[in-house]
Amino acid sequence: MRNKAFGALAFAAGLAILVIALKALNWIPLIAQKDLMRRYGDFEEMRTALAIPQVFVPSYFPEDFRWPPTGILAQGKPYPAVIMEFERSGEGKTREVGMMIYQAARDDFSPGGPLLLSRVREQATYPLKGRSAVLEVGIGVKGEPCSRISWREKDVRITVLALLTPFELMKVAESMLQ
Amino acid sequence: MSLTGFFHSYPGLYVTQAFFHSLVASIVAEIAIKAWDVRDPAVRQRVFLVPVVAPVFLPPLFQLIHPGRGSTYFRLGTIFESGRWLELEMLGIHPVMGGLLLVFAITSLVFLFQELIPILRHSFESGKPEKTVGKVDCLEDPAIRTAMESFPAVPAVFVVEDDDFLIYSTTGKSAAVYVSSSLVTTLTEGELRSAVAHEISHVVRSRHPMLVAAYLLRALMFFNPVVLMEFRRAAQEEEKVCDEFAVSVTRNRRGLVQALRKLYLQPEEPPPQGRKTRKTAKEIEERSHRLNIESRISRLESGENHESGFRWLVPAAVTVAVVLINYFIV
Repeated sequence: MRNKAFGALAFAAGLAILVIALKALNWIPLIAQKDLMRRYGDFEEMRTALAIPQVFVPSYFPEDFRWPPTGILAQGKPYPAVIMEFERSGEGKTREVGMMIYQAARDDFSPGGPLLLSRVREQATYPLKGRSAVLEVGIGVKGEPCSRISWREKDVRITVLALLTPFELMKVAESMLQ
Repeated sequence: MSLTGFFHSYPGLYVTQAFFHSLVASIVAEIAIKAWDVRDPAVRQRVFLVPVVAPVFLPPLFQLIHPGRGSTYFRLGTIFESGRWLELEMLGIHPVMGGLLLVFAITSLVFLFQELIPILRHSFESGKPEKTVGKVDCLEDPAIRTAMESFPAVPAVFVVEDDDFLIYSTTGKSAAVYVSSSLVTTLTEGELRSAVAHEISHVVRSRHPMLVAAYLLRALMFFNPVVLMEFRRAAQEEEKVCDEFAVSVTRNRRGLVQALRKLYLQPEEPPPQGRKTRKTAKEIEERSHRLNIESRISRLESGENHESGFRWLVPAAVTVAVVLINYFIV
């Protein structure tokens, strides 16, 4: 019995070493190649590191949201992609991600993450300053109103997903285009 | 399809995940074997089969549990993301992608020529009648007869006219044990009974659903080198499991040891003198086989007893650990 208990302890220690080794192996490529998907401290750091020619940002922010993004993830390879997270910052509001803006060179890019349009109630094509955008209106995980708008801009697909009404969301999207 | 295109496609993602899942499962199995100092061949075999079975089911199971496994956020939060290594670029090429594809291709060829074709040939030849000169009724021995009563079918035992020392079994509908005439005259009655009991165990266990399923799953993972290695290790343990069975039936440990010695451990010929010889693949294979036989003999001579209550604990612990760790490996 004592041997079995010691064996279990040794097994657990072995697993812990394995997990640490895997984590270390996971970290090595990030040192070797700078343009793999990672989290950046701020927008400028990301721009400098990846030299992505154009990152689309809004000039209009609804109440509770403001520039700069509270979180930013990006990659240069295998294709350029940028994800910007915006937390709600209003008084009395919980600090949770309420808006995500992402752009990627591939149409099937799906970052997942803290915001989710869990149920789509309505989907429509919407003319967005001459572009054809797809607008989806529904609810988020907690049942709050949630909308998503997505369109192709030159060689990237841009998506804005937010816990906002469609009207507010479209204002954000329009402000990203000149 | 380009190299990158393949690794981004669904088959490519599945193949990659299956490889890394089996690799991690293999390491976990090895840790368990060392930690608990597992010597029981039946337990070792079950543990070695975890890396064979796990990669077949885990990727689709995890995808079912969490459809967003492929998303950026999930991948960033994992223990190990294979994509980071695959995307590494040097001089305009992806060395890890290329290397992995080469390994998969070589393993597929090994599976084809060393396993699939020989098995198909064996299955085809099993149906043909052997040139036999006599039939030995081992069931005359009351001890063996009693032990065999619980089996669904007891194979026939035939003697084949041959000067070499041979004993083997065929499986399937016409399952039988074949012994060469020279072996019958060389082995004592007790040794022969032990050797035949070992072969009967192979026949009986070949009908074992778990082993049949394990082989089918192994065939699905034909490209996976880790599965190939672990399945071979499990197959080696099968010999030891059959040794245990033979001893439990005949109650003659010494008889099986002597039979193994006479069958496989002929004195090694000294290498020719005067020139440096390089080992051929056949010599390496023979040496490896000899080591395996010596390990079986040493096990039998040690007369180890195994706790029956412990038999499912280690494989269960390995399975749980493999599922939990691999969930965070994409």
